[in-house]
Amino acid sequence: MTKPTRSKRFDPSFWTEKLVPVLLGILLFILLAVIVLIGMSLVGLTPGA
Amino acid sequence: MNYIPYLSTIVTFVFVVAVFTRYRQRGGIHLLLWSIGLLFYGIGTLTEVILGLTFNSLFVKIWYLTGAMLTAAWLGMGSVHLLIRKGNAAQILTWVLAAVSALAIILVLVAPTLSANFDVTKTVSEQYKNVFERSGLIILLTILLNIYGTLTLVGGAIYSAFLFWRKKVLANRMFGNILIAAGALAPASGGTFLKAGLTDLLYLSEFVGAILMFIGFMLATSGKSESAE
Repeated sequence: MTKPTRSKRFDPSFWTEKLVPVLLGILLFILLAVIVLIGMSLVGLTPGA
Repeated sequence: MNYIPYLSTIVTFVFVVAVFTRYRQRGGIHLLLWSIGLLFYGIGTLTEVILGLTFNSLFVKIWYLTGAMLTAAWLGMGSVHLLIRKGNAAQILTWVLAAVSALAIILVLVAPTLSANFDVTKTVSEQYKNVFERSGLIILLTILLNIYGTLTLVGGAIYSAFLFWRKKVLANRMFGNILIAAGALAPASGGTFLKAGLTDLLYLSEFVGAILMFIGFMLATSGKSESAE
């Protein structure tokens, strides 16, 4: 059985606390946009499909 | 001559060696699968280099197979193994991906060649449709593999970064995963622009993607982290 491990905690700065979720939200939005565009090409709604 | 694929190829093969070395040292099927995905990435950019010098329809097919069909899916498969540790769902998905990949390789290699008219001064992404005939099944597999790969690789990295942020642990892995997500989105966006018939930014997006993912990987694996990857 493996020994339980602990991960290094960090104290987030103001910017880390506020900017990281915004950044993740933007990345998620781009991901969804990419998936939608790929899906549109699947049904032939884009010229390059 | 376009020099960007040269740079992308160098960066990607160094990246492959870094990931595979870590796999040899620490094990972990996700590292092996990422190595395979990155190897496809590197082969894809290498064929862009070759096709910038001389034309061969086989290289166009290899470019399509590695760059357009297999890279994202195999990288994403590594992330699935990292995130799904219980049960054997990850193993089953890997076998399904292996079977689909084998089918894709056969379909593309036997696809009829249309024309030998290829301008080496233009990008392969502008011309591949004129070189070989993509059947409906090839196009369907391309799209499904890309959706699966992008969702699992980028989604997995975003999810991991969110968990590290919420728990306030392992800042290096949090930032590393953000870079990996951004890096993986770069070629995915470039390829999507291409599918959408928009500007051809594929070569640049591949280079930016390789750099960001490499930095993200190095950052995420730097330091003495005590938790599982």
